[in-house]
Amino acid sequence: MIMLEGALLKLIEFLEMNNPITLSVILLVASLIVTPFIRGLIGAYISLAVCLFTSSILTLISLKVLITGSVVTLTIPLLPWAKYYPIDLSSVKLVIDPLTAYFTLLLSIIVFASSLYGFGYVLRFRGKEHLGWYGFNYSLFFLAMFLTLSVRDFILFIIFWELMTLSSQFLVSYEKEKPRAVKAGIKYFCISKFGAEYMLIIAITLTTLLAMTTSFSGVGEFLKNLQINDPTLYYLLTSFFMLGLLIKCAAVPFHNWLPEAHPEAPANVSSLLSGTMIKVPIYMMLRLLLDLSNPTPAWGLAIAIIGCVTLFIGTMYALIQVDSKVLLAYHSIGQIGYILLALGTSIYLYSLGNYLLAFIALTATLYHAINHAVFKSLLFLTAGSVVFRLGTRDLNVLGGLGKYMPFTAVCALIAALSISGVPPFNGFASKWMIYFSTMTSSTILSFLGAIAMFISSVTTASFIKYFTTLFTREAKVDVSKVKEVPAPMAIAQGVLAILCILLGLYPMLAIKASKSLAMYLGLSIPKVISYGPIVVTVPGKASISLLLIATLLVITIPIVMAVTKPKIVPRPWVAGVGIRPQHSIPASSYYRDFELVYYEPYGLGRRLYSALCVDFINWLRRSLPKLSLGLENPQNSLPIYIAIALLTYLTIIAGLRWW
Amino acid sequence: MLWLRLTYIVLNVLVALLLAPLLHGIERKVKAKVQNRIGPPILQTIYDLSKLYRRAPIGYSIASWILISMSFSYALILTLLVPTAFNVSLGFTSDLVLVIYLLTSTSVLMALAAIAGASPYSGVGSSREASLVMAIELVIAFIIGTLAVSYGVFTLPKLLPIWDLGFKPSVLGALTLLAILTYIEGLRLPFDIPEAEPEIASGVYVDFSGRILAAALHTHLLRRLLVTSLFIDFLLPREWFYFKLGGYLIDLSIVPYLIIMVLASVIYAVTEALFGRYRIDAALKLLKAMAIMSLGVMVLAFAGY
Repeated sequence: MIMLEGALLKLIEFLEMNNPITLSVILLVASLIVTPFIRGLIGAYISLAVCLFTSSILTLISLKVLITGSVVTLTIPLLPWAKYYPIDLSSVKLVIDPLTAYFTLLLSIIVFASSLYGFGYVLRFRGKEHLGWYGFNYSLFFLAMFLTLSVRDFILFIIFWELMTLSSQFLVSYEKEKPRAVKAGIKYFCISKFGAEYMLIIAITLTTLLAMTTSFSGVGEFLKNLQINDPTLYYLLTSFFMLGLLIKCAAVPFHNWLPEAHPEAPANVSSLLSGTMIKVPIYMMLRLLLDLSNPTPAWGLAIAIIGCVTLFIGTMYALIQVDSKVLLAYHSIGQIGYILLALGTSIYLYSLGNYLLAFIALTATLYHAINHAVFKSLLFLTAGSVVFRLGTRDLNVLGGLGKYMPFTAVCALIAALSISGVPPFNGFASKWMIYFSTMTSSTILSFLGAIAMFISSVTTASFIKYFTTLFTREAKVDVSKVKEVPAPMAIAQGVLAILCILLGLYPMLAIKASKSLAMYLGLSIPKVISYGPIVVTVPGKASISLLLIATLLVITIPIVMAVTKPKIVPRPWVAGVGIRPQHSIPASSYYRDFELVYYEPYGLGRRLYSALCVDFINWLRRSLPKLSLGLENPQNSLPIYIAIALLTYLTIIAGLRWW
Repeated sequence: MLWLRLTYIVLNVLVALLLAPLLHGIERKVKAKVQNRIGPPILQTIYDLSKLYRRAPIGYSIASWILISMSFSYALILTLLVPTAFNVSLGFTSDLVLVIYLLTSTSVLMALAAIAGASPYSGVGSSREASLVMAIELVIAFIIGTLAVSYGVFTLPKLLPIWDLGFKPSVLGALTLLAILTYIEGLRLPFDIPEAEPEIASGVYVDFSGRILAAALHTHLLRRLLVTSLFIDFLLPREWFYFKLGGYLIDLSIVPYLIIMVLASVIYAVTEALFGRYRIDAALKLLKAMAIMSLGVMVLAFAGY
């Protein structure tokens, strides 16, 4: 391991002399200039190749920052003449500190796999769509996400954040012949704009005006002062920030744009959206609540509760989905809930002074973020492979693909076991940390942890359904001519599948990262070691036992596996006839009894929906006749976001006047 | 004293592997006596398994083979974590979560392996198994939560036996629920819905044969043993049965353990003889009621009782 790290550092040093970050940014910008003019396959390939290259560079650099704990800073000159207070666009200063490095690592790993996958997947659009625009938006999306993570200025932050939303919105509705894709794109755009970005703009305008500076460090000082002198104002400002960030990461009750937007994008973009884009708000929450201000119990508890509600609702609704990508999108909401729960726990326990559990929760936040990115991307890629070959996402009719796409099936199985938290895959270790840190704290968090534990089994059940309906039972469509996906797509899936296992067996990566992060943030670090997939707080005690466990696992499987090939392979039969497709249970009836008995979450969801979206809009329509012009359709929950945004905006402006 | 510990560990695994089918044989005998039948010999389940282990499977899919072996090895790992015959739990911080996860994983892998076969009956069985897992997990989550809130630890060697930590009313409630749950987790008669032999032709097991079937059945029996052992471990003060012999620590807690396990099997068998099979929704409703009770217990624990 040490030798590997040494070799890695040498390679990184070599790259550094040639200033690789600037090179990456220049390459990405160059691909932005070139691609719109190339309609054919080359347009997409240029951008994918550039993303592949730059993401490998960024992976190395962020690994270096995480290993050594040093901070990389660089300034890229932009528009020398554009220097008006408070907006300074003369140069972009990028800082890669451990927090940025960790999320950049996550981002670049997923971009690497998605770009590789894209080489095969874009063949789907050849001759149908303008592939140059795909390439343009893809590069822009990556560049914007990277810059959002690494800038240290609020004005630049919101600019890149907007670019991120904009490019991803075009990617969501890329297949413009499909009305569903266009509608989902518009809804996503409106909710991001009116919900998330309005809130953020309000927050940033107010904060920077009050702090008289736009830099992160200046605002940080201002916020820390506010916490002591004027807590009310602090909570007011941060609540605007948090509202925007929570809408962007699809926390319940601001979640319903996600299951429409994410499935409609091309598969590798879905994997970027669910794997990385919804982690950017998580990054910003960490930055805002742990770096720019001191941890407060109120925010910790609030985030933990929102996280618990999010994971509960998201996963319970995922259980009843019958569309492969929509099911995955609901699980994205659920898993974001886990991350939020861990984040809230960490902040809450830090503010209470329980450093051991708080550190484990912080590690769980980071660890689950990267784990979710890896397995959810892999799941979206495998779902995309099925779409690539069969063109359908309906779990009620699909099936039997395991025989024809064995590699994809194995990857999907690994990802499904990972997200279900089956040991030793990666989902287990991070979920374990979450339960440990929440439940043993003996606070209200214990209750949230218990709910999270239950929801984990719902996730499992849901993925039993997902995997078996896609790959094992008899299909209702003709799948006999389906072939395995092309090599780039298969390799991309393989890379992520290996990562699922490696991350599960070696949690030290996350612990190291969170150690250097905690050191950077000035938080206290307890003694935590990891042994295999197991994190222990007392060093040395578990070594021999775990060695035994591992040996036993390794030995028993081959022994039990040592079996001769069957000579007779009889065809299965049922009730006197061979198996027919209509014999297999449809995806919608898998857990019907469970849904009927545990109906409360679904009933509650419907009631809340009607209360918020129908009744509230009707009330709004009656009271504000002039504003109601666009609100005729109460089915669409979009108006509520606009209404909230407008009302807040008006209130703020009125408040500022009065002040 | 590593070799002594290792001997105990190996013995422990062997005893668990043999004890699980033996207890099943006892249950079958007792059930037969209650129903006024002669019943099979006590060793019948061991005979069945050893015969099946020697048979090559017929027409299986590689996927189900791998999944069943995983499931079986998880059950074996569990015998290292949960003290069964001897107290050799390889305790480390918060291993209770690992125990619960491995228990859930064995049935999840079984359900996946079952659907990998082609029979629609196994599909129905798996979906029932997964539904039960979800409903059981909700109760378990609150029980674990109660223990965590009451004592602030997840680590089995620290939790077992519960007497050392001071007794609380909420823990009594949690353990009562756990006792009922051990019966349900074992998927015994009113709850053998995933298997349901007369109804869906052995459900999850319908596609397995030979060695695979043996491994699947053995995993199932091990699960029963482990769940019951976990409950007994909470109450059995094993230190009372330690003896020093020439500097070596001899663990005789196997004697009370075996007595209790046989007693438990008799109770299970008599209960099983009394019931017919539940419909899946009735079972889920019962588990939902239990979940509400366990939530109440957890609230009690929060209140400090």
